[in-house]
Amino acid sequence: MARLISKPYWRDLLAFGGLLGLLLLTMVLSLGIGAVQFSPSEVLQAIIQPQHSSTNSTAVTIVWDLRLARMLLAALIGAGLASAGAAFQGLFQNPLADPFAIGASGGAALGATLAIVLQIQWQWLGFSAVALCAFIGALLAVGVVYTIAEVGGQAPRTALLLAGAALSTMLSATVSLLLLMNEQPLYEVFAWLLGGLSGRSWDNLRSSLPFVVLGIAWLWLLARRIDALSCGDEVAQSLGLSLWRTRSAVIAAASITTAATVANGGIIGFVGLIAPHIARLLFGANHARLIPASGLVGAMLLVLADTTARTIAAPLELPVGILTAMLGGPFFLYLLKRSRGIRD
Amino acid sequence: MSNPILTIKQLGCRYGSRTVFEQLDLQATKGEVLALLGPNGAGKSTLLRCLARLQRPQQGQIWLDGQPLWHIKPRLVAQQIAFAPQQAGLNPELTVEQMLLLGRTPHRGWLLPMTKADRAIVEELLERFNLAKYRRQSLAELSGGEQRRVIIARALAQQPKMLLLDEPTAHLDLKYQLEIMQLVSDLAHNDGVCVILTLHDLNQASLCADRIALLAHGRLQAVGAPSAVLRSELIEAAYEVPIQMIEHPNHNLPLVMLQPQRKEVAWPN
Repeated sequence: MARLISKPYWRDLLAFGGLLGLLLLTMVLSLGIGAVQFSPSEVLQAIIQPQHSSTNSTAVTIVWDLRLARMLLAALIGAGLASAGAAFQGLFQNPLADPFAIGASGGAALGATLAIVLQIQWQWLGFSAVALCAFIGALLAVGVVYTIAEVGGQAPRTALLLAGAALSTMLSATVSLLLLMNEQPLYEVFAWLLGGLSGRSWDNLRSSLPFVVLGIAWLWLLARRIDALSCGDEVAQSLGLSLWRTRSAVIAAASITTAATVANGGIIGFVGLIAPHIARLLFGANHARLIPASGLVGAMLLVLADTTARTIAAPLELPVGILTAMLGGPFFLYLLKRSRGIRD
Repeated sequence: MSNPILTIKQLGCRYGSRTVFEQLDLQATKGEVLALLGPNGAGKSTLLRCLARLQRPQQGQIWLDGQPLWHIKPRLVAQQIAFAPQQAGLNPELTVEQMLLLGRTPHRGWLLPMTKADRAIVEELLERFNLAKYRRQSLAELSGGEQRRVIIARALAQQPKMLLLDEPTAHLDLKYQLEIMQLVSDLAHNDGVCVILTLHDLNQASLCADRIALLAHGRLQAVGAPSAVLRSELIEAAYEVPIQMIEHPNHNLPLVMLQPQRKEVAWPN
């Protein structure tokens, strides 16, 4: 009888393999699409044997210098946002939560705006000034929300979400005010706020990579605790879990991940909301599977979205955030309609 | 009383300035079913939450096997005490099996994979609670009665010495009520678990509890066998309604009858 329990692992393994295969396929196709088109085999050869004499050298240049870093960054950001979203949905027992639910986007927006308006020039760990300020802004905002919501060693879910909403509104008002007073950088800030990967290179990828990877790994290690939290505080506590410590850890891990994605991609909405739902349909609500699965789905969605964003109105590039919002909005509304409010 | 597993001394709880109860002394032993009764707001659930270490009482002490409850590490408490909350207490998207495996975490920890032994324990509970056929279904697909069984089975997966149930029979139909009562009795009398439960239905308490503790007006009014606690003067004083006691036709147990004022209306045929 006990052996029966382990059977679904095969099913899951197969599904994971399939998802990974699909992601790799999307990536290769994405690299071939653009102003100059390449076949999948040309793309693969350019990646695997860039020095070989038979390799198309234009393909090598375009894939390596223009498309590969950006595509990998899209995958990384998609994976980070989706994993953080999955963790927050479990933590808040709320299917409508996303990585920005407790203020990360507002903080990042203000940070980036300040960096642009004040023409700050710092650099650190490969982050540009705007990226660095957005990263710090996102973490600060989450920290403030957490401090406000915390009472007596506990941070109730509702208080966190409400404080997050209030702070986000305040921060975005501040951003608007700053823009009204400084008109010149309007376009630059606007483009950043809409979220976009235009012109992103290996440097951007390198600076975000360690934080996102570590963040996702940390979330994955917290998976069983998030399972317990998703059953409510009383159950989590009666299983021996320290609510305060666990919640802080989940929030820290998810926010570092989110901040590192926002730093180099701007505010890209809806991926972190939708990808976990798709992953949940495939793998169920067990977070040890849900978090990596969400990551794969999110990576695929954002690679697809970014490829569309840079080709659909060529030679113009749309900010990918507009695309994810336009496609994700209807899906979000469908979820809202279906879930009939918030479970608590 | 032989070797109490639980000892409560001079316990007092407040919410703000409102005293829920105070000066509460109580003991419980292995293998007994102890029912907590009392009117709404008397502190049944609060007491249960204190015992589950979910809420810290303002006064008094609770000892588990001779050790102060609040000095024991949460995980060690979770290995000995399991709590099944009245409502919610589950993520409707988890499967039955995943929910039960979660009950093994106090023994397994939060990182290590579940072992064969853990799965065997879960397997046994799935069989015992008639849940095996639902193992891979999400909890949302189960009926209220089945969900309640999952919540209790999850608590039992912790292999506790003491099981705390908050109104386990609420909102269940007669069949499930009887099933839960039977189960509680089995757990205590066959497996030696100390089961403490809150109930609203006095007659259920009479039928399934070995002892009853009656809470009212901020104090423990009485504790003892059903026949000692379910007496009209005690119940009338606690609930502030007139009642009448009768005896169960097949068991030598007291039953409480309400006496509503009814106007006999002759309906035309």
